[in-house]
Amino acid sequence: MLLNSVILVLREVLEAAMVVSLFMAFTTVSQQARSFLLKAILLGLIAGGAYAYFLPEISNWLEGVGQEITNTIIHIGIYVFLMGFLWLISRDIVLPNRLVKGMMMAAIILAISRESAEIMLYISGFRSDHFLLQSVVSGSLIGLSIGVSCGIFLYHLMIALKPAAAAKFICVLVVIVGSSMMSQATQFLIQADWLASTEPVWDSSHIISEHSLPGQLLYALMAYEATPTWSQIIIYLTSLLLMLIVILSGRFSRAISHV
Amino acid sequence: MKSIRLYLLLILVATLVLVMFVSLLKGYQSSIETAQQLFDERLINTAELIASAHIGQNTVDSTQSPTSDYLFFQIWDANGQLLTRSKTAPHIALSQFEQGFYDVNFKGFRWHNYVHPDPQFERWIIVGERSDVRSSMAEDIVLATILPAFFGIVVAAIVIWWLIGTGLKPLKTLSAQLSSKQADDLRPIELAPLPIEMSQLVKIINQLFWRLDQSFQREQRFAADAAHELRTPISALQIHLHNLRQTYGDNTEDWQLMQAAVDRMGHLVNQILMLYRTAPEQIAAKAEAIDLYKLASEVIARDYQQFEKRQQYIELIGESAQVYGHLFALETLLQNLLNNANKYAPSKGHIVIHVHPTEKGVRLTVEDDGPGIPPDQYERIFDRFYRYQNENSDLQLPGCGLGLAIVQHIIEMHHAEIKLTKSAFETGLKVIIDFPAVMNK
Repeated sequence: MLLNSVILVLREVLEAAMVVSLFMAFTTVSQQARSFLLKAILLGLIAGGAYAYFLPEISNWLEGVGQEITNTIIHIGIYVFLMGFLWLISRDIVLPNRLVKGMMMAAIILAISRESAEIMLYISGFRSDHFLLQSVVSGSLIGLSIGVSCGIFLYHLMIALKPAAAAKFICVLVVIVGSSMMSQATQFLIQADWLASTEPVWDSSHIISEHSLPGQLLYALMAYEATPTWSQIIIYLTSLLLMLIVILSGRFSRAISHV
Repeated sequence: MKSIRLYLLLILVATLVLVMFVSLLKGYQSSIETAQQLFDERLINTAELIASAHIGQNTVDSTQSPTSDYLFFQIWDANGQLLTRSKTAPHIALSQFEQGFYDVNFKGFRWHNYVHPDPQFERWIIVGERSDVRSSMAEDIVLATILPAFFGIVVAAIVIWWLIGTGLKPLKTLSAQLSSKQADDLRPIELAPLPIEMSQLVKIINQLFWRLDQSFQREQRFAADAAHELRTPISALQIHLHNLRQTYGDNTEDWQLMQAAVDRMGHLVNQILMLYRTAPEQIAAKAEAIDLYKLASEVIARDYQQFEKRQQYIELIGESAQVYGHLFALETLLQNLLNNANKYAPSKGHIVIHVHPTEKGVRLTVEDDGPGIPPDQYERIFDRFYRYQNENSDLQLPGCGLGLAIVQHIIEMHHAEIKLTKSAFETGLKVIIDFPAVMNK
């Protein structure tokens, strides 16, 4: 039970830690105040609490697939805000621009609300089972600590780079994380039967298992699946390509304006 | 990085958490496997014990015997007939009759069974226990070793915080020593005991202090020498020129131009020396409370002759107002402002000086009824060697374009603010200077 709790919580915390550390590093590299990020984290936790509280009701929506569809919307929302962030910074609209701040805050609030709601629901599920509660809480704490530590390392890795290199690294990570959000949204749509479930294209579980620590890290980074379907692969690559187009079009329009 | 202490704490605790918890999880996995092996051995022992106790050979009804809810046993004969069972066990065989471990579902739980052959009585003994209870018991044992790690990390974080603070103490001491230094104190820093990592830094700072000290001394020597070496020949030149004009008459334009050039040279030398003597470190080091009103009246009285010469009307209005600053620098500031007003106000013109305390400190204003300066020139006239020439005036005034540069320099040193505007007269310039109540040392 402990190991299951570690893996589940770690997976959720890593995803949120990735988004938060990306933006924290961006504000540090831009030499801007980051109090608005702390506000976004707090708001995300509050929203997560509310989401967890109303989840039984939400789950009943849309003939019982309300939770899956809400999660899909949240993931698409994160992708859209990350895309908006990339669109702005690739056109030299940077902090302290309010729109950039808004995009960053919205992405953090959505990421933290979903992940924290998952964790709260998971732990509250064992509230009455005192037999397992201790293992679940201990595993959750371990998962949380490892996830936050990975976020701290990622943040310090990014700010240790030269500003120009850090900005590029952040952009690359935003593209990867954003695309992984769309891949997860696809998984939820498959779970809700809104997308047809097809045969897996490959099985790489013997190389990296989804349940191993590297598997969890890869899941948080790029929604790693050992057995992905065609729909997941196509949506992941399309999302990736769209974000790259946004960055490249920004560069192109800057180059035109400089001529 | 806002704080080295916070950075080190975060990175060290994060490293500790990662290393400790990942190894704990590895340890947890192998401990759980060991615990499962122990439980398996216990099942084998239980089966052997039942076999040796000859249960089932007698007519004892074992279903009445007290057994726990998560354990069961069954004894079957070679023909597949149930000889006896525990209260929790069903009437059907829960595993095939072949020695080994099996996992089966029964009564809504997963059970881990062991099938033991008893060749002596030709029967099969099946013992089993609930898998979830086994796992919980195994986890309870392993968790007992993991839980102290949480407290350990909290304690380690506190200890690390304290240790980093102790390690950074020499840096704090150095910072305190540097910030408590007076502006003119360029003595080397002495820290004992000095850590190896900081010795190079302190050495470089001390070398910098030494070079600064040498440079200030050179500058002071230069100012003193230049004052003496340049002023004396210029004064001699002015006397000789005066004598020559007396001897040969001064009606020619050449004499007047030469006189103006020598006067300008004398003025330029004086202004450059003032610029050097109003160095920031000197102002900060020798700052004192000064009555600006009294100082203004003294400067006016001393230079009154130049206003009288042009029949200008000069008026000082206000009251006693204390500013915190350097006497020589403030004197120079007033002198330069009054010189400018004297130069640009017309003959029989008006110059008004106001000094009065305000809510934020002291305000000094100097205004004249000269031609004034267009607002777009306000910024530029503070540039060194820049002189504004009125297009409508062919008046050639002596000066070198350093006066207002020096004024701004002194104002910055006193953390004051300067503003230029039109004077209350029909034409002319008004200079407003706001001094803070207490200069930030």
